[in-house]
Amino acid sequence: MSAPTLALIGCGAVAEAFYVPALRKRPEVAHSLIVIDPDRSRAQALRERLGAAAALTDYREVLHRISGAMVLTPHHLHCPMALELARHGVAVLCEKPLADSAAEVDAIVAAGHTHGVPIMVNQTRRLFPAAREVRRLIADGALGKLREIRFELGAPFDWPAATPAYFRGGRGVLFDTGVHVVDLVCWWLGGEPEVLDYADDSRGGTEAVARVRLRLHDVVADIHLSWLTKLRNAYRIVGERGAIEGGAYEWASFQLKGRKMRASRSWQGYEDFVAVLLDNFVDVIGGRSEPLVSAADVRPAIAVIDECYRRRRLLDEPWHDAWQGLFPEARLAAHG
Amino acid sequence: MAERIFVTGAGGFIGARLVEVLHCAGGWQVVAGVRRWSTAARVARFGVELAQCDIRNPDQVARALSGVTHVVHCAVTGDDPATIVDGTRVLMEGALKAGVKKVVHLSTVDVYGRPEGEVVEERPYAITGRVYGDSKIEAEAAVQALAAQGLPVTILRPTLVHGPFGATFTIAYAQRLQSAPWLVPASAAQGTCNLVYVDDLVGAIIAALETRTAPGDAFNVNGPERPTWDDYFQALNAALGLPPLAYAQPGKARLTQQLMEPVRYAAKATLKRLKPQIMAVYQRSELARRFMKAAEARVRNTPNANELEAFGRRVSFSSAKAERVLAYRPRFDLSEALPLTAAWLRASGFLLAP
Repeated sequence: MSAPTLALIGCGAVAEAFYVPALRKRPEVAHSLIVIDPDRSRAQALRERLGAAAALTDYREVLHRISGAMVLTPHHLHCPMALELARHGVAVLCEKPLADSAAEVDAIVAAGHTHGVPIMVNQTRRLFPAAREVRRLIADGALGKLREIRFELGAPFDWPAATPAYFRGGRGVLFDTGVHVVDLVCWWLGGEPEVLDYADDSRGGTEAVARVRLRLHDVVADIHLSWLTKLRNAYRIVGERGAIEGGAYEWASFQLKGRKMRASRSWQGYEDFVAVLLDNFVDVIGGRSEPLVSAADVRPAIAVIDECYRRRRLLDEPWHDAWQGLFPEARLAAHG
Repeated sequence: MAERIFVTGAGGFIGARLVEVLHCAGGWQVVAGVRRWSTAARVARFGVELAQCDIRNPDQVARALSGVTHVVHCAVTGDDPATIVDGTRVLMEGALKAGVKKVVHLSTVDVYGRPEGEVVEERPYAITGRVYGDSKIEAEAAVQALAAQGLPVTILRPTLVHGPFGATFTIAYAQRLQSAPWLVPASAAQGTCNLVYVDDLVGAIIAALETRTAPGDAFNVNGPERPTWDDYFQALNAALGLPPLAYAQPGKARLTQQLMEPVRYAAKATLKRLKPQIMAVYQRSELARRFMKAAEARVRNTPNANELEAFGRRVSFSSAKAERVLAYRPRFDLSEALPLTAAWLRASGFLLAP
């Protein structure tokens, strides 16, 4: 069985960090791959490293000769590219977040249906064995009636971004790492929660700290995100019969009512999850499998995030406002 | 029309705060200079113009300074002394070529070495063998050479800068204070703690931008009071709402410090040589992870020999010249500053849950 011809669009940091190691484990996919980046030298370098078939600067050149495409571009390009690829009958595996709004997700899902192609999303954390086991335990009632979820995810932003795209468009940590957490919470709770409160530190730019409060079926979820400082990077799910606690990056284990639970030891790193996703993508294109995470699956998280931005209020930051004391009132009045 | 100002090191503690204040105060069109995009998250909250610029690269500097009227140099380019000095020289040469109206160069009181008593700007440089201070001396020399060619530059020498986002004198001590016992006996911390709150330093920078001074003139920038180190530790501890300091017995504290010195050096040397292998073990073994975290916390919480020397030294860096010439007016004493710092530490996850 020969591998389908795939394109990898966007040869930046995501490709380097996750897809290159995964593709090295799947040489049959890598060797027929077409790598694409507006920066020709980047595309060429990646082609050589992977032994890929070709390197190009514009994905539109190959729309008629590929079966599927991995979209690893800056966030704002996910939706238009997914739509265009789908309209040309190309299956899509898109990095998170996929879209800005539920309406965009709906449009992408509809395009997939209309043109008979699958649209998948890399929501890596849904593949974590620990996250899957937590979901099963919640669904099986291991904690009884759920009461609350707390999730903290934060570290100084250190992504080796090749461009300032992360800081354009007014969507920051909530849209970037927050989409992982919001998606997990929606997935664990089995629906789209209402937004009770949302505050962040954006003062005209992209937020770096965000606090989200959601509610679904009387379960309240508090999420704290940061691009500036390291947080506890952990979650706690409390029910009437006990709690589940885990580390945000612990994909193999967690604690159930104080007892350590081991979900899996088989995967060693993020590249293993991407390899699983790649296999799934190839199988889905071949009609042998269902998508692990489809575009429709991430709709609740995208809808929640969009609603958060609509309700955005400024976090209380007294340490920030202290600068006003540095200047005489006359100067402040002059500059407004 | 707003003046266009380029701030180097805008991803860092002082540069980022300067960008925030200049932007919010108005009257400035701020260009936030970062070496790597990944450091821009803090200033990007304000929607200011971002510019990627490695100040060691003359072409990148020339591009960044296009249309710029003012420059503030906050960047410390890595641990390599050559980069601190070369980066400063290239930036100052670029500023001279661009014909900017004013440059403020951030130096440090470390250029005086380890003095005692009252220190004013006329005090000569002192080489100590410490990379940071010695490199800053060389950087100042490079600045002075360009000042002699007509570059309108003012040098500021801040003392120990503290406040939100401050790694060395804020976060590190907040973390240590939460780990008992406290390894700095009061008797060993009676030296002078020359702290300046980051907003006061920003005020001094803005004053320097707006004041005509002789090219290359240098000014100490200190806070409004001169507490002892023990005063600072106690005040920060109280602001964080922690129980009173549980001082270790002086003998036990000294022994712990002495035992930790070889561990510190061995850990540093091992990490330098075998970092990839150690990180691989860290990723794969929970036991190793726990051990390494505990060891790192122990090393971090134990003061080193240089710190102990500083805790006992009585020295005061005078800001009188800055107050006289720049109309610098420090207003954040510990009682003003620490509640702000504590609020930030609390909101940012630095306080352990009770």
